[in-house]
Amino acid sequence: MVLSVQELSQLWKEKSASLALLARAIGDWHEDSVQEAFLKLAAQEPPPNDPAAWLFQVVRNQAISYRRSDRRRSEREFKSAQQRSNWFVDPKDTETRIDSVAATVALQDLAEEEREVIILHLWGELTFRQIAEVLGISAATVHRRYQTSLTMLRTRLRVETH
Amino acid sequence: MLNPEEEQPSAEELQEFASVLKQLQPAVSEVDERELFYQLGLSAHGDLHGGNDKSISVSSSPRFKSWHLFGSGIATGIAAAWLMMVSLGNLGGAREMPVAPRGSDVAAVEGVKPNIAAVEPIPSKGRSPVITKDMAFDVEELLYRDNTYSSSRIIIGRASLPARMVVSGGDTIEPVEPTPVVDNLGWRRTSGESFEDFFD
Repeated sequence: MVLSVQELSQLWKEKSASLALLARAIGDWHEDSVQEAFLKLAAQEPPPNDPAAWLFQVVRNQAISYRRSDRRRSEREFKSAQQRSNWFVDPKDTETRIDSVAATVALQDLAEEEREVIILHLWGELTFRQIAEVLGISAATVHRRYQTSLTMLRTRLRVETH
Repeated sequence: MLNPEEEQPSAEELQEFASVLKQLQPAVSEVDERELFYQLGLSAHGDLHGGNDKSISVSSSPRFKSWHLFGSGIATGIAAAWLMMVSLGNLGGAREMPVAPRGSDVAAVEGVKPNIAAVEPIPSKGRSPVITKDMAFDVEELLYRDNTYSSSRIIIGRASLPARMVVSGGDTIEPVEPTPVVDNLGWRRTSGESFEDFFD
């Protein structure tokens, strides 16, 4: 018994963008990790109990693996590629008071473990308990990281939010 | 880093900021959904096949694939050997089997059990051996019955062909009136096999 096509399609519609955001935040902007995660999920028999959390975990592991194995890309190239990209939809198309480029830069300035928690909770819509399972840490640590990271982001983006 | 001198926001303020931040929409994945499902060997969006219970089974394991190929090869070999044995047996049986005169409705079976009297002739033109309801079969009989069924199917198929389009005279195409279906065997076409394959 594997996931049905409809379930896979629904997961893709709901989670692919936030999965891609996590992949970008870790360093794999080619997004191969997102597609590979879905291919692996389709082959999972039986399917995982929590497919969404499972996808985030696989994408994270895959993106970290890609980043480590890509020897051709220097750290400087990686940074510049990150700086060029906007992780969010153009603010003209959304009703938000935050500039998407500024939010991207603010997220990039966070430590990776803090950035992951913010992305998984806000855009991945995972609970602290699910995030704890994905990252292999306690839920209390996740909550603490989230509060700290959100406070830092608020400080960075205060001008835009007020 | 946080400035310790800066005032710490309250939980409500943080929650409000989080809700504002969440309004940012992550950029859409560059991987098209259709490409993903093509990778899975499915049609776009996977809903062309319909049905909620439709599921896919993907095994990317090389070991599984090689075992699958190996098993398929073995199965094909066994099937080929069995077909060869059946063909040889059929030839041997055919030599011993009396041949029914062409156009006759009389049973051309000798050596069958006496209750063969309950014979229902097949009212069809051409070669048409007889099938009984309670015929006791051995292997050769089964083979013989298989042959007669095959020929009967061709005959019935020929008689029950739908209105076929034939060219008459010039370039105009005229339909031919359909012949009534002859189905005295109580046999029904349930497979997707087309009778026209026998003639075209």
